[in-house]
Amino acid sequence: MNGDNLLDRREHDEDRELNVLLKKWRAPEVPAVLNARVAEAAQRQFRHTSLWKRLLTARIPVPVPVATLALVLLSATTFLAVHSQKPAPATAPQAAAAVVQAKIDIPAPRRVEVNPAMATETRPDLRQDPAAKKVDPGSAYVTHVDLTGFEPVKELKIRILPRGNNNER
Amino acid sequence: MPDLDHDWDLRLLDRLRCGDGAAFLEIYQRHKEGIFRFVYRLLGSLEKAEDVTQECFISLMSSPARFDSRRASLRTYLYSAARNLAFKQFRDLGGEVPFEDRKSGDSPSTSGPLHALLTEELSAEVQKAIAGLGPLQREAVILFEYEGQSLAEIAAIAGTDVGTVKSRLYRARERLRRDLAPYLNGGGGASRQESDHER
Repeated sequence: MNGDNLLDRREHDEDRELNVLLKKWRAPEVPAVLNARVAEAAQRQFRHTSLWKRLLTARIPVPVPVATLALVLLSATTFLAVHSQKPAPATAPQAAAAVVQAKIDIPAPRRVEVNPAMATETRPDLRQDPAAKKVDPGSAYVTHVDLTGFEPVKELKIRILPRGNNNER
Repeated sequence: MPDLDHDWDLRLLDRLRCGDGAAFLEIYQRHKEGIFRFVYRLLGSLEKAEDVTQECFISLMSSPARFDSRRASLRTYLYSAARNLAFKQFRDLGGEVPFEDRKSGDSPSTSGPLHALLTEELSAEVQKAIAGLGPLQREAVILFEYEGQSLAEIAAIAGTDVGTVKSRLYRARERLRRDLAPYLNGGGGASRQESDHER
């Protein structure tokens, strides 16, 4: 009974005699049949409530301090996880930027078939060569390029030539 | 009602909303006595009190979302629901209150046949006097005198203000004092009532 109720009741203290008389009327107890009816109705109502529904709609009351602590811990963990990753070296992008792609033509060993007839046609000086005359004009011979002693250049100097600059050729 | 009880009611309601039948039965156990007594005194019929009480709790079970904890306690809500159902019954009965004779065994008095007889008689007279009140005055008297509700709680249940409840209560007690005058201090109540009127 709260304070307001006590104040309400004091106003009726003078009428104590009536209050006592009113208390003579006692209500009956709740009949057992009513309890049974309500229990039966509840059983009918909740029989079809599946476990899944109860699990999906279940609530877990969490005290505010616990929820706050959990939130703070989660935030701190996330913050640390993000900031603990090592930053990439700062020079790497510069090094990558320094790489220049250039197209370089390197003479590759090739196999050349020379026809003596063609050679004499293109080289008039060979027409006088007796060795060339000994060769059967019907047969072709193959010149093999020997790569023995070939070494790649030690230092490569790249010169970029503008397309229209004929003087540099 | 202490706040702990109110908090526990809210927890039970949360469980009920999740489909927990045991929570509903606990709510019923906690509030059935008060609701049943209230409805019985309001309607004067054991059978109708059973029906209304059952309907009241089943409506809570079927749609617990109707209860808004920000507006009132569960106790107030249940009394309010029972009151509305009882008044519906009352209207269906054409405004009459069919007070039944008490069955033997209902009276808790066991201190002798004469005392039991007197108690029975007094109980019947009080019952009759309260039945003679209008429904709103009767409701106010029952909630205040028998259920120990405060004026504010009664106002919340009846959907009115405290001033109106006070006024209903005052008029109801005046009427009861007059009707029960022969039983008040050997009939002295009647003379006191007359003197009250003269003021």
